[in-house]
Amino acid sequence: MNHSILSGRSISKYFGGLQALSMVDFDVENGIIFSIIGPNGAGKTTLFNLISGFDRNYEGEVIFEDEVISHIPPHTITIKGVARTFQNVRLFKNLTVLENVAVGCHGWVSPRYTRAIFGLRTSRREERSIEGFAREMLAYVGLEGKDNDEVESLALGEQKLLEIARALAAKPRLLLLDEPGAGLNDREMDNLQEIIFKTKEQKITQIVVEHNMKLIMSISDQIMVLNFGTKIAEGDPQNILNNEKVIEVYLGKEKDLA
Amino acid sequence: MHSKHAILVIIVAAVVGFPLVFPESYWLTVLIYVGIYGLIVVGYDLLLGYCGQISLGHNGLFAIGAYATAIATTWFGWVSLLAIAGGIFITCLIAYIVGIPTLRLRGYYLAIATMGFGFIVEALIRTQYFGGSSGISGIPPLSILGYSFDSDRSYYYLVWTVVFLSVIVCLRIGETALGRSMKAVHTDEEAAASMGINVAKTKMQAFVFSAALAAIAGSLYAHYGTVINPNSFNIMLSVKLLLMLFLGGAGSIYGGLIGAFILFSLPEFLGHLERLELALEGLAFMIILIFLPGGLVGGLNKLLKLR
Repeated sequence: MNHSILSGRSISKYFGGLQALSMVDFDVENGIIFSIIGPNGAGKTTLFNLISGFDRNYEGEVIFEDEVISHIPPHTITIKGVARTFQNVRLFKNLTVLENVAVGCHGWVSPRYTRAIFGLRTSRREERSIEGFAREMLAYVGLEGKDNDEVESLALGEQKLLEIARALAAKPRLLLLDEPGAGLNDREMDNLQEIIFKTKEQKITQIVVEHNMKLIMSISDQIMVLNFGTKIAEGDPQNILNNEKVIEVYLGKEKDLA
Repeated sequence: MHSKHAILVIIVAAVVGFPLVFPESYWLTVLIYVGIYGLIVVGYDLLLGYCGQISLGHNGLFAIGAYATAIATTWFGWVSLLAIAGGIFITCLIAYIVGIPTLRLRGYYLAIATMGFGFIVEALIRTQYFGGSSGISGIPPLSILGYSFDSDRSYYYLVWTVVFLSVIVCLRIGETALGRSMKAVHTDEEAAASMGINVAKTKMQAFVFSAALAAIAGSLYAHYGTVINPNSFNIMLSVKLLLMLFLGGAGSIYGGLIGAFILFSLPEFLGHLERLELALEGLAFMIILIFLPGGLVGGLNKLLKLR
């Protein structure tokens, strides 16, 4: 009954002679937490870059809410309802914490020169509504009171949360989280998990790329496993944990590390 | 006005008060030129200080504004306001066309490409079609609705009114969503795009907007001097814009006014050391960039803890 919010059809991507993704198909049901796991270099971030429009030079199709978005530039994809975070935190260091989140509102505000120049009242109202919403998003991830701090004064864990707040400020219906747990301590990890669940309750679909299996197993409704650009398994967490192929190429190795 | 703009308030007070105290001063002329070049820097700050896009072709845009107004009033007898509007229009149009291919470039590639544009304009205005090296003379004084701004004092107030209006407009652009999106583009274009910001459009708007202010400045320049020639529009002008901006403080909008003031008043104080002008400016530039990356406004604000 739940129909899919995002689908990939026969997606292939080459970097020179290297095949980063090979005929990958997937469907993400509306409202779920969909995780993508796999060894480094499996093509996870590449897939994120294709979905968010950063890389439009690939074969196959990405379909968001029944519309092919494969050749649409990234800002338009965001405006259509897909927001993302980055594996290596990419905040705007020349803006304050609150301003970073305010930038996230850009898509639905679409500010104009004429309004800034002539519409004193409208632009004030616009600023107030942006500020209000940005504060709300900061509180949502637990960063209230840090409004005027400099981004670089935040701990890494807080910076990751700020990225999530910034992405949520775009009012997305699909949120792409690229390794949100990397570099977080246990307490921050619990906090992150709570935010992800809270976001699910908001009916925002989430696709998560992550290495931390504990987090993946507790949050995911559906997991897709990539290895060398090929989908080798897909299913619910139990299903994936018991999949021999997955154990062989990915989980086994993780267990050795543990 | 917020307390963080205390420096701006001081500038306004000084500018408004100066002719009242020294009505016949030779400095009125100097300050008119400070205002004209300051006006370019105000727009330039949105492009470079906020949006992070360098242009070394603003001498070309300034020239187009000046020549368009000069030609329209002197050769075709247009009224001032119409000529200025025409100058703004054609400058913005050319900036837009030039911006399409060049604004895709980044960093020093952008600097070199825009510099190329500046050279083209300079070469064109040196041709006989635009008056050759002697330029265009006999430009009538600026008059609006029958009132002629033919005295230094009236022109001074006209120029600075335009400057301060532009400062207010740029501050409003800079301190609202548009300014934030420019700063976002400045730091990380991909991250900005993922926030729904149209990066190409943001750069283009800042470029065309700064071109409009350069065109207004060009018109004011042409009307004031009554003569214009190509020597006023060479690459040194763009270099000096950079100097003014960083001297005053990039990203502050009005910092460039202080930078322009210093650059224009410096020769007046140098006397027989005039030949060292460029050397001193270069030295000032280096010192500012090394010790005061926020420029004089940034340094003063830090000193006064305004921000």
